[in-house]
Amino acid sequence: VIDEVLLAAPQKAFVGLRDGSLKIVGSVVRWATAEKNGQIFAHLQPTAASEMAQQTALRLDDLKQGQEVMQAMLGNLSGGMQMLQVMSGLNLALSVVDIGISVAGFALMNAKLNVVQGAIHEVSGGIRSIQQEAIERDFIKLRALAERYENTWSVSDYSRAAPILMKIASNANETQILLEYHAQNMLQLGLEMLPVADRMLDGMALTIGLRVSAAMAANESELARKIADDGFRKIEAITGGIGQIDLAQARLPKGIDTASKDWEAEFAKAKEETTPIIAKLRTREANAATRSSPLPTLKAKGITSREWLEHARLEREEPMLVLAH
Amino acid sequence: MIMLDALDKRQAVTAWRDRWRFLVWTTMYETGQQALKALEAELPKSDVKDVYLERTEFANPRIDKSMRLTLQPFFGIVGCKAALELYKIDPKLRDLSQEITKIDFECMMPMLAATEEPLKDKDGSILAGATGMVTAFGGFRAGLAVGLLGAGAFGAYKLAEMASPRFHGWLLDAGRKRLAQVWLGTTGDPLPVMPQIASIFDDIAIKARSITA
Repeated sequence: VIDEVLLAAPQKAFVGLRDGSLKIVGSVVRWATAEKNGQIFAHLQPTAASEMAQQTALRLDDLKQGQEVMQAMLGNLSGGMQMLQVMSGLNLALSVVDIGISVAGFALMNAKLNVVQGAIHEVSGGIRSIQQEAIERDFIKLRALAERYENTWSVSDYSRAAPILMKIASNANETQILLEYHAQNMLQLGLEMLPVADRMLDGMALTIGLRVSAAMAANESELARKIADDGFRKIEAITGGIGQIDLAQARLPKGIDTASKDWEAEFAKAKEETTPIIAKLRTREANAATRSSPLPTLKAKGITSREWLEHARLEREEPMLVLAH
Repeated sequence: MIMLDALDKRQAVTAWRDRWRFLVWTTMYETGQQALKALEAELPKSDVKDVYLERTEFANPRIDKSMRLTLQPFFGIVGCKAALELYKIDPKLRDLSQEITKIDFECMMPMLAATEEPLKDKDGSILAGATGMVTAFGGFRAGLAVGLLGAGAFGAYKLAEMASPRFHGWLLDAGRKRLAQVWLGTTGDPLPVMPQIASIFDDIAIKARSITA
């Protein structure tokens, strides 16, 4: 059934994306034409092939090399600036890996968490050590849950796996709430703490992804949808009101004379530096808003959510499944 | 997909706020730089009294006048265009858009009548329309400056030194201070014009996001 469902959409999507009549927002392909503007054309589902590629890209060693090169390039700038530039480079990798419903095995989840945790360590100057330990514990819990999730796919009897999956979906909620709490706390200290809060939000998005996948693997589509939609609302409530102007303002040196020539240069620099950061915030919101989008379509086409995940997990060649809406 | 549609609109509102606040910020800054240039062009009109005793009286009205001249029509356009753009994001924002068209940007700017001291012609005499108090006080201070320098030296001093970049720098500094305190700064009581306008866009964006929720 799934093979038949998937037959027509990819080629049309490819053509539409090339000629501009379609565009990708989060994990959905939407019409960009005047008459159908905003309507959904298809849903994107990353597969095992895509996740293996991501895993390679996110290997910690490669990341460190990338950081060193960028730091060397930005050697004449201040330490804080360098870090923010490096973070901007990582943002792209993370926003790409977080689309759609994760079929992630533990290895990829681990690689993603490594990126998030590594970045937190780099910018943890403003975090008290006691708070840092609490954050570490939350990430350890999340890794353990991801590993349990992965192991359920090896349980031969689905009826025994389902309650474990439900427990994972439920237990990971605690980690999600804690990461949300950390992110909010950081942002209350000021937008200067956004790089740290941002990583908490990455962790939060990954946790939501894990919970959605666990509920889907247990064939609890309605629960998966609720988790995804609630998660979106929480993420958007934290970052939705943050604009580039706020980030740029927070970057300007304290006490700079607003009528001076220096201001113009600092302002231009702040605007340029904040462009990728704001893009990442908006992308994460869109990713979160579209995570549950294929669920009603799957139901309408008679495909269970577990079947869908299984199919994506077994796909080793195509990086993305395209499900017509 | 209702949730994504709502997100589109809320993200558009945030982008709308960014766009207008960036535009206001850069336009006001550029206008400020032009005002400083205009002040610089007027520096040959300054005399020893302006340099030593009445820098702000010389710089402030000139800065304010330049700023108002450009910003008055600019804010008129900002009000209309920002309102229209907001309405286009979501027709539910019609009432809020109308609120923008009613904003009196002019009342946020310093009134020239209250701040502008009468401008002087080249020989330093105060033009018609000066208040008695300003004339008397200005005259006293000018007299004091002349007395301190010695009447004989004053003419030569004026000719030789009035063109000095250092003295002109003092007047330009007074102009920059005026820009920072009244127009472009981020803090103060009363708040400078820039943060007052910024807070209008912030408030409207918060309301708009809640309406589109």
